Amino acid sequence: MRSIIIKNKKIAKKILIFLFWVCIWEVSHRVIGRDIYVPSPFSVLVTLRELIVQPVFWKTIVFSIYRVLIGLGWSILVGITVGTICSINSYLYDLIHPLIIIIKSTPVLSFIIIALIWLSSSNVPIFICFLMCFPIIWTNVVAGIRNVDVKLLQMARIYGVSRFNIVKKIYLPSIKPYLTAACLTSLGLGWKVSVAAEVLSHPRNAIGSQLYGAKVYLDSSGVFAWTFVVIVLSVIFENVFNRFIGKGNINVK
Amino acid sequence: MDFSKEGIHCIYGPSGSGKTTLLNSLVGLTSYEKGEFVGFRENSFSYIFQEERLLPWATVEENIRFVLESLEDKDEINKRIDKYLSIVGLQKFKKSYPQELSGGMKQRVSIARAFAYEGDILIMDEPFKGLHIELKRSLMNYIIDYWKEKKGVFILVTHDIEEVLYMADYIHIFQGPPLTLTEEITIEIPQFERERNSNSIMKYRDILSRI
Repeated sequence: MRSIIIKNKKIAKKILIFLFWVCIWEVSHRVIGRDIYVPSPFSVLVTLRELIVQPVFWKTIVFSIYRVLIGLGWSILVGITVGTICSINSYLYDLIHPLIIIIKSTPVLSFIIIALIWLSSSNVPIFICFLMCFPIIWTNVVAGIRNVDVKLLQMARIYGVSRFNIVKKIYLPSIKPYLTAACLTSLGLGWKVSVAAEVLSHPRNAIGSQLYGAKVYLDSSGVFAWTFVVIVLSVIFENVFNRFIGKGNINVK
Repeated sequence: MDFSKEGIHCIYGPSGSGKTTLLNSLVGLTSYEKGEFVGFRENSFSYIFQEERLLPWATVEENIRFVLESLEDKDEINKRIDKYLSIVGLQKFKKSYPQELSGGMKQRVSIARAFAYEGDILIMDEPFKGLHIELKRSLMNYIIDYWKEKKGVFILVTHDIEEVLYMADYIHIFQGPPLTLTEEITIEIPQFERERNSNSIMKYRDILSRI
């Protein structure tokens, strides 16, 4: 009973916070007084409602999700693999590290423009998502492996524990918090850069293309509506990921 | 320095003299330039560290199971876990995580793990550091009882005179750094028959307090 009351209080609190910011939004709209700059929350809601009933809306979302997932998936796979090897081999680390710095420092727009020359419009967002998320995964995997407690490794060595079990029972749980944090960060970033790439590359069935279209027609409500969709999708992804991690979590209290 | 005799050997010396380095060299954690350890390399070691070195993401039971993975008999593993957790009085905490335990309880888990492994040689590197006197006494009793059951060679490293006088059969007195063996003493009186203020124990205490 108590937990239900606490849960309801939490939900009520979230709703109130949401409504607070919607009010701020409405006030900003009235103060500025121009729909093209800040449309009203109501007009955005109307636009959203019109979009939702169209099949192309859902097709657009599915394809954008697909691009983000593919880009993220590759960044996690390659990030873990290369990060692990670089943790073991200092020469490879020295070779890869400058590349990571360059990727982190270069404006994403530069990469999008270059990718537009190399790749098809549909693959540009996937590539950009991968490229922007890979350094985060790599950095955290390297940090996770390097920060494994040496004293636990010594203990395992003295007790003759097999390498397989040392990896499974010491390295993997040690790296998990680092990797989880990297994945969470990459989820948010992946959406941002993927949609940004879609805006410039205009693939078919893409949220970014819809955003671009709304901008061209000065449809601010449309821009806000699609942005809201991206935010909601990003939040859903994060919650799903958190639940997935929670289910597979080792219960360290 | 000879550890071949069965019993509890104590490596006694001041802090910073190099006792832990000696142990680390013995178990192969540290390399050394000169000399050799004869007869140890074939042995397996159970080790009780200064800090408990438990896997924080594993339960008490899983921590002990971790070092017993090489045993093929799962029943034997379960039997040992239950037996030695019972000996250290922690059977109720089998499913607890290290964060849920006090410092003394964590050290008891570390001791149970060392016992359960049943290595040829038990090594203890200042295992009672920072513990309350009563807890220390009960842990020392566990170890003495365990030795009575298992026999073999136990090596205790400490700079605490009371621990030496309570536990040791053989005392190897060191100075350093560099670590240098200066004297070796044998205490003939069995551990539980020693009286703290008896003449013989006082004599040993005098020797040790001069170091």
